[in-house]
Amino acid sequence: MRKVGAFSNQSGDSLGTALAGTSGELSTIACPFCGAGCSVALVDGEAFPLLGDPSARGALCQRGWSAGELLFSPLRLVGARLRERGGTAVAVSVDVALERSAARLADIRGRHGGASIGILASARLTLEELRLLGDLARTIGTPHLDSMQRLGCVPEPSRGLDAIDGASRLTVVATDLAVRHPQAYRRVLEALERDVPVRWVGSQETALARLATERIHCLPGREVETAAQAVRDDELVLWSSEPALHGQGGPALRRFGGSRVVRLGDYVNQRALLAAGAFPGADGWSAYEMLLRAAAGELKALLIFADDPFEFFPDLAARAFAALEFVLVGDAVATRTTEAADAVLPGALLAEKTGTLVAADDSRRMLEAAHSPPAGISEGDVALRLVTLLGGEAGGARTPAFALGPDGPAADEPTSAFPFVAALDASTLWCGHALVQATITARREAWGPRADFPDGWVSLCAADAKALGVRSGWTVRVESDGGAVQLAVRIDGRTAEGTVGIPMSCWERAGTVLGALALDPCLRIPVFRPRPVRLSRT
Amino acid sequence: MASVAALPSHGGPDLYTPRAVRVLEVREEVAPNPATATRRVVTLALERGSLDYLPGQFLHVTAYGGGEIPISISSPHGLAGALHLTIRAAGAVSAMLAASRPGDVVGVRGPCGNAFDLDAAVGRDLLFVAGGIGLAPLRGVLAQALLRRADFGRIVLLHGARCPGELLYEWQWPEYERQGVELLLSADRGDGCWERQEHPPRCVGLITSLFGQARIEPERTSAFICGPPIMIELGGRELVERHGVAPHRLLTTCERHMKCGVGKCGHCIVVDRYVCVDGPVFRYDELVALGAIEPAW
Amino acid sequence: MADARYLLSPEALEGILDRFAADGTLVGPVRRGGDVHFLPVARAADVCRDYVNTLVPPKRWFLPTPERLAGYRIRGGRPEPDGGEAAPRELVFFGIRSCDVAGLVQLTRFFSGETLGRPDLADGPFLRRRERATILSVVCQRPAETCMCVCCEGGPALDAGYDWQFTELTGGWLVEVGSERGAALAGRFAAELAPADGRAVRERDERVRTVVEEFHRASRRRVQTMAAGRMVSRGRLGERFWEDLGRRCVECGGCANVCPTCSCFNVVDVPAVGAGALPPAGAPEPAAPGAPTAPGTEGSYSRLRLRDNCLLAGFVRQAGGSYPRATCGERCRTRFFHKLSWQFVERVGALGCTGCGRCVQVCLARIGIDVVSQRMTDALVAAAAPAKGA
Repeated sequence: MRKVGAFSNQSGDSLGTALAGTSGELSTIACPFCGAGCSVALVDGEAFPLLGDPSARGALCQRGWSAGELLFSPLRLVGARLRERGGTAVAVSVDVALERSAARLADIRGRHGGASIGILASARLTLEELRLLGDLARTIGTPHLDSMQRLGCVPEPSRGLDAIDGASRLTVVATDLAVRHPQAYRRVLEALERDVPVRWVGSQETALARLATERIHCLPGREVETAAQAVRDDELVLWSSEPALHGQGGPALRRFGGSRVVRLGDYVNQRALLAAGAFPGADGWSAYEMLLRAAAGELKALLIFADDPFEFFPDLAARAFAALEFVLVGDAVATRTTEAADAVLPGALLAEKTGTLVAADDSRRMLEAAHSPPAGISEGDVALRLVTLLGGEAGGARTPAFALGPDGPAADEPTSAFPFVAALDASTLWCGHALVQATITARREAWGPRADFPDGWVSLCAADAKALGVRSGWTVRVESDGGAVQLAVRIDGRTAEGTVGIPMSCWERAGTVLGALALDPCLRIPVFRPRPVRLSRT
Repeated sequence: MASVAALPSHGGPDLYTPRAVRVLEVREEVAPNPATATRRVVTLALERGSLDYLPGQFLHVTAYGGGEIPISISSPHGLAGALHLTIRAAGAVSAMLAASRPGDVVGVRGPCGNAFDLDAAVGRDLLFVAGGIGLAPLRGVLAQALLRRADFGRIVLLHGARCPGELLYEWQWPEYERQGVELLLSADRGDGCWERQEHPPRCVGLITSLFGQARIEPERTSAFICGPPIMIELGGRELVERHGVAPHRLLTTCERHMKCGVGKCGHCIVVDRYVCVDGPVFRYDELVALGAIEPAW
Repeated sequence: MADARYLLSPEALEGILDRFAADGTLVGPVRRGGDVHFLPVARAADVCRDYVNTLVPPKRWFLPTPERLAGYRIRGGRPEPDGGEAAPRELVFFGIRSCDVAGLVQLTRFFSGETLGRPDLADGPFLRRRERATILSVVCQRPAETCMCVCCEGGPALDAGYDWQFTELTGGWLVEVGSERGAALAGRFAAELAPADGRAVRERDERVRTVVEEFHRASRRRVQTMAAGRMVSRGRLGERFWEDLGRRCVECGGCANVCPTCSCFNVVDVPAVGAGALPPAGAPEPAAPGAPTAPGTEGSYSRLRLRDNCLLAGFVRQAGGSYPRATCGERCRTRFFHKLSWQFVERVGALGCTGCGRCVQVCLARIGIDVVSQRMTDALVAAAAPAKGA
């Protein structure tokens, strides 16, 4: 636990025992805020980068600079809670919470079978914790183990960020590096300074689009085929989760694979999900499918570890939770999901875990806990206890067969009736994340646009807004052949003419109405297919 | 006419610790109306104790548990026992403060900033132009002027808002008129019945449309303008360029997000000025020279 | 007395450092892996000697982030003050570089209220730490590739701001006393100090001159203070200049976090760890995570000061959603105006940049102050010599 040393100058009670470092002690933690996996140094709560860290190289993005704030966040979960349906949550000991939960699970298993219980894993867990979730799945007897954070990740490794340093030609497909992967952004800028030709293919007016040596603009949903036509054999291709989130995951994986690809991950331990087998085989439901099945009454219990379905699917999650008999959530921070759960167990941040992280190129990195979690346990401990209480054993292996399904449909072209294309603005991926919301600085930055536009927004470029006769904050009607939704206008310099962007904060509502939100049959993840729409003033 | 630095004193044990004061009275000035995006506005009367200030200055007010925000003081210097703060529930902390009840405790630090200089306007006509919540800081200096009514010539108050429901201190208008204030009102849009009433004189339109009616004699007028930034810019320009008010005789207050109120946190910097120390009261010509009147800064 | 100069042998220096280390007061550069940090030092031998500078300046020892300014408890709906902060300890900082000393001079002037002519607004928490700090700086003789102190009056040696300024000479150290505190220290260690002779002073001057000459000869980087100052002070860089910069910037805030002269901060009242709760649906989002939205909520709260920086959009956002500086370009303009303008030199008494070069290292968009000031120079040249036929 926390030591108070000679240089302590904080009375400390209100900051709690989780305050990072004291007395000038240096600790190093892993930043959880994207797939780059930078290390963050901490001295007395001040976070800063390390020159010696191969990922950070002496720099951090805005979320990374805020990472130290997590350790003293008021939103940390510091104890277990149980809630009777219709009642309020009551604080209980961790043991009591686990015993009752195991009893509930055993009961549900007895009545409905093991396959009525699903497990949602997370890229915030270590490889070892994910393996324990595999043990838990086996103990329960369920094939349903997956993570909302798997996104477009597949078992084949890709190159890491370092590949950018040695590339002689680069193509960046669809992702706004400056916002989504700032460490990659820097390396690409360095490449430009070395006169490496950099091609940008995408539908947004990103920072890199303007700086690239060559720029190919295309409509949302067309990035993969456009890039595939342009890319040469000797090029390094960088792409992130945009193609997958647009429903083009299958084509992207087929076109861009092997040693000439850097797949930029969104979460630090995304690959560990694959390495631990924490994904469904043919007979298991994917994470999104579990939510759909739960809402339909086909899943009876859900165990959620370090994730927050209410973040991206508030409506579906509410329906699912209402229909489920029992939900257990283990997390390091309070979320709308922990508020709605029947059993809440406190978890740990990466800074508080010892275990293995798996990078995009499959290299392993050992994490050593720099601090103690406030409640003394992690999600892995919870999983292990449940395994034991349910009569199982840890230490098995889980090796489901990974298979890509058939490709989803290609995105539709705009027409004269529906001249715009509405696409997901994936740069908003982190804005509502539980860990961002638990900090102070990153939270304020992510929260500003959401406070300015509490019901979501649709982003337009200035020219289109002017042509339409609308200003920022005005409401427009966005209509596809599936339906119409009203959204506030937000002028965004990164949105290209003829396209409009939907943020992830309202992608469920807008996507459902517009017919964009769908289950991608290839990766079995939720996607927002770009849809032709028309806009009108209200 | 310059703005004055006034009465620096920071009550609490040090610069950053608030002093607890009791809420004596709460009066709702504006009822919330989602249809017109109108936020709730209340005036709190706080026990003043030994806290001394001049109009123009502001306090940093703590809603215990929620945080701290800067609020202009709306009462004159020397008001017995109490000081007034008018608060619009625009964010989390202001909403908490606006939900106060008599007997509740809030924290105060200050007074911060500089004050309006009334001495330099002695013998002149006073023109107050207040847009919406902008009347809150001007109420204090208006009250200050009324305490020495004989020192000034005409006192004209032009008060406008986006809609009639957002006009402030309606309960005090008769008192103002009794003390010789010429009151003219405006609303950007009417509500169907407000515009049909006759008194006080009013019109539907921007506040600038009242300028002609005010019959300003610019060579003997000292003016004060306060309101949303766009209103200060347009209204200030019109007063100076069309109605001949001298730019150094037009005072305004600048509003910025603040965190310390004592010239340290940097949030309120405008060009090279700290609004919380060099302001919030500025002369119009000062702000134009800074380039601060343009929205860009 | 101040301005005196002494010679110190290497062994004597170790002895003095060991004395401070034994007192538990020594903070110096310590190597951990590939990085050097200013940390408490247990023995003189732990002090790193072959380093240029730390990636972050030693600001945290004077302006910690987070720092607890005050605290209170709410019980029965009533606030009660909650314990003061312990007085900071006496600390001796060895190995600080001139760029950081220059930064500390500016920060001290700023936090004392002197910059705004308001000593009544002196920042107690900062000054209490500053008053208990002894600054033993070491002149850089092997600068890094990113160093530019020569452009900014930030080094390699200074005339003031330190208690002792060390320059390594062949066979020993020259110690220059720069303050009353330094003079008192010289009295304390009178036995170890020998008066410096003219030869030693000349060697020191020669070494410093060599560093400056070498910079001018070999370094590609500059902080273009003259051209940049002119352009930015007169507002002669158009909207397009700042827009281009703003679009490239990723708003990480790293530049301000590592800048020796930056001190902007945020203040939030936060509940205790784990004591927060999400706001009920429909309630406004509180400023701090998990903070209450209803008045009088029971609990223990800390008023924290955290570093902040003017590049972030939330820095200027006003409740209600207006942004006086709405674009990143405008915020970049704010930053560079503060660092390079004459207006701020006038106010602060020194240039806002000390040439430490850290923003060059830490910028993800590779637009450190050298690149930006060069762009300003290019803009000045372009304005002076418009393209033919334009």
